Amino acid sequence: MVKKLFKYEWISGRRFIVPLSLVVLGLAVLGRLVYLFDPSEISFVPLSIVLSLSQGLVSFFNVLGVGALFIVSEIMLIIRFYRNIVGQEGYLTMTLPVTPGTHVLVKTVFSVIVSLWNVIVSACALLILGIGTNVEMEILNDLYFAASSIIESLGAVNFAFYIVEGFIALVALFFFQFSLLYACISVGQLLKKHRVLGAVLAYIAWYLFTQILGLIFTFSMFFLEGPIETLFDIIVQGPAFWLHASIVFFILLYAALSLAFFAISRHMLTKKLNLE
Amino acid sequence: MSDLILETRALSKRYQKVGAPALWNVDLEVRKGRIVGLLGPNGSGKTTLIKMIAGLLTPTSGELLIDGKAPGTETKAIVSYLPDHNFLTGWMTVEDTINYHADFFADFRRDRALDMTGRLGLDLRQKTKTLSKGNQEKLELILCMSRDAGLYLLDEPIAGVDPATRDYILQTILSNYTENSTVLISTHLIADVEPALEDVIFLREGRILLQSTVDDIREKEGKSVDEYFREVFKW
Repeated sequence: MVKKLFKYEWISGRRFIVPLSLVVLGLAVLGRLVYLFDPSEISFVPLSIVLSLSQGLVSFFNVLGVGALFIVSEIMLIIRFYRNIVGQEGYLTMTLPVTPGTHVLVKTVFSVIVSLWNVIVSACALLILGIGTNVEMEILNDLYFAASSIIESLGAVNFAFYIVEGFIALVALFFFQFSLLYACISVGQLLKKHRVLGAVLAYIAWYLFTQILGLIFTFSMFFLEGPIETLFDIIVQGPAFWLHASIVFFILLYAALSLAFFAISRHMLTKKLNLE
Repeated sequence: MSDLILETRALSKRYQKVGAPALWNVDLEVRKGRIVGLLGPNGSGKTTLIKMIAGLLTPTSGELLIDGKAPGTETKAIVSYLPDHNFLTGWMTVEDTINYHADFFADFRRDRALDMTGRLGLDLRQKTKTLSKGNQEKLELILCMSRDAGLYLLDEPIAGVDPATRDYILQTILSNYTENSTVLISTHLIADVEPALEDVIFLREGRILLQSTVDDIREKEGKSVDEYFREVFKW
């Protein structure tokens, strides 16, 4: 059943994933073609101006395309969840011989896969723009050099290890993000009317909760001056370990929160389903 | 093996902590192979009961068994549910929708669905959102009745459709259900479904008022089910 659920997530998702990806990659190819020419080497001034403007526009649309790729995908995934689970389609979806937990899990995993796919497409677009040119490759080289210098200065030995760790943290972040959104929708559907507003309010409530926690943490810094200084000294003595420990901490935190939000969604859709 | 497809014991459903319950202390026994009318005025709890059997709602208290099992993935596999809402996915074509059902329900008969859509003249490549309301309802009924389910739950299948479509729907129900399957039809258009019914359940304000065979009502009361219903639920 899980395989079939993924199949239909893909059938639904490909309607926007494929065109969006093609647009982003197409814009990158167009950008690469436009950047083949150097406006300063063209003696005919009007043409040089048009080329400069084109380069600016293409760069702008490249950035816009990558932004749209992430934002539109996320919106489409949220709409899909809402309609398919708590909207009218839910009358069929929730009577399939599948548990509500499986539905939520499959949709969350699929959303994470789409987000990772978007990262890959964006990276490919950047590479296409950089093929054979100095500008973009220089930026990439500089970025790599800066990152590896920081890692080396911290005393770390394996840069690839941090890449893997960072990737796992990114996956955990995506899981957290979609589990949170789907939990908010599952809470919002409890309302008879204004269910979308209910979901938004649930999200705002979570946001406020984290802000209050952040404030409490910040204020506690003032009162814990001594221990904070000791902690800072410990961090300075072994920065690589602490960088590693922070990434692991965030991975575990996101994983724990994802599980908690998943449990909320599952409970709401099993015990308190309220279809339109 | 039990002869019962559906049993409820002291089944209750409350949507809110205060106010009247949607269903209260419902005791029911429905045998296999019967066509049962779930009858009652608006707000009597028909849809709530059907949704609980379909696994969309959880009872507040009491017990609900479908073929001896509590609602879950096993019972969903043998229950074919036709809600009173449009459940079609708009971007899917008629064929996609049929394939979707065939993928998830082991008892779905694709050939039967294709045969019925063909007879109705539905274009398999047409997106469901572009179908007329009547054709959407017919497609939903086809999807529901193309399963060899143990229990069919039909929530107001003939409400809001023209008389010709009404006849088609009733004919489809009668020609597709088998001896081992049970059909539970919720409606307040009793006269239209009465010829097909074998048993009836009267619901009022979330309580069972009567559970009887159609023959018993005719024999004891000397009235049709429709006439008796009008008498019982007279304002």
